[in-house]
Amino acid sequence: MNEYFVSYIRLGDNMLYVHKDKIIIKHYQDVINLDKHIFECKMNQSIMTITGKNIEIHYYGPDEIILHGQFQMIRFT
Amino acid sequence: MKLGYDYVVIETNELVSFLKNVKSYHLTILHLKQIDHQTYSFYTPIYQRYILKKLHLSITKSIGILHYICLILNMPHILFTLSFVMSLMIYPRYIYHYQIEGTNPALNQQLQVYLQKHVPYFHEQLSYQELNQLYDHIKDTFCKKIDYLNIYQNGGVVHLKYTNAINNKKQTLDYHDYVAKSDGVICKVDVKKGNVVVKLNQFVQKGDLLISHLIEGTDKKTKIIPTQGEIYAYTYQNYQITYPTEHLFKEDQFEYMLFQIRSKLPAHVKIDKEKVIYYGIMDKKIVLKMQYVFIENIAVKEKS
Repeated sequence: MNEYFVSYIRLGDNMLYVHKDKIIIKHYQDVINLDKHIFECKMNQSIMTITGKNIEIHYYGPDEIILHGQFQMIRFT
Repeated sequence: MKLGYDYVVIETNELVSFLKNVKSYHLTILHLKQIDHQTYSFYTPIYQRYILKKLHLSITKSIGILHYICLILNMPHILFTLSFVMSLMIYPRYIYHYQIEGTNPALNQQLQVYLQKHVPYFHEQLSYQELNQLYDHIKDTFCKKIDYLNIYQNGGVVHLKYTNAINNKKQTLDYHDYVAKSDGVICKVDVKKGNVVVKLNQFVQKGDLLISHLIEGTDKKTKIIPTQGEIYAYTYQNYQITYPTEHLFKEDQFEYMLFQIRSKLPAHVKIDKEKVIYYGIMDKKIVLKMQYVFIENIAVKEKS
């Protein structure tokens, strides 16, 4: 967590740290969809969709998820 | 977190619902990977093993130091571990072996019995004072057999080193003169007591004085001193042997006669040189004449 972050997004209580090949999601609610190419999870007020290649869960905790892979797009709906 | 992990492999076609379940039980998952279509693998921290049991997940393997600690603490390994730790603590505190270093087997046996009696096995380690007392006691008990003694302890082993007593015989002083028992040239003087009156390379004849019991002091007074020692000299001896010619084969004559002469040589001398002086037929007899140079002690006590 002490690494240099490329960008940091805060949406209400949810936080998102985006690296080149790593994304840290804090305060998520539920995983909706998981694939090598897509990851969807329910946040407090929205649904977050991440697309890319070789997406894997590196860490899955009760309040935090760390994803590894080559990411192309992050979308909130 | 980095102390130990359990490796789990699951088969499911509902990964999302499995993850929901995991979240509800507050289980942490690391390195979630898809092995094939419905098989997934991941690591969980060892301290969350109880949650795996609740979820009815089986552990494929475990890694990390916590895993080995858990192994050690399980029965029956805990018994071996405890025994090992206890032995490490107990053994250095008590005496369990005696190491006796000496060349006399009978004395070694006696010392072993003595130590077993006074410092029995599993006796507490000896203090410096006790070691000194033991040293004094052994010295007193075995004073006639031991010259040098050293006792020390290393861990639970008592080391005892000694040297045998050798100078316990009383020596009687002798005041005889030493004279030459045969002619010779002095080659070595080994005199412990007495006045040596000959020099190296000096020729002496039979009966000459070699070591005297009289010595003149700086005050011009003659003193009587004890004598003891050996004086070695080169001595020349001739040996001759004859055999009738018909008694021996020609080829074996020399070897046989030389063997006969050598068998007559005295045992206490050292042979310096061996020379053939004559080998031939004389009055129908084979004659072999040999000359030997011996190195021998020629000093003998003069008969009073």
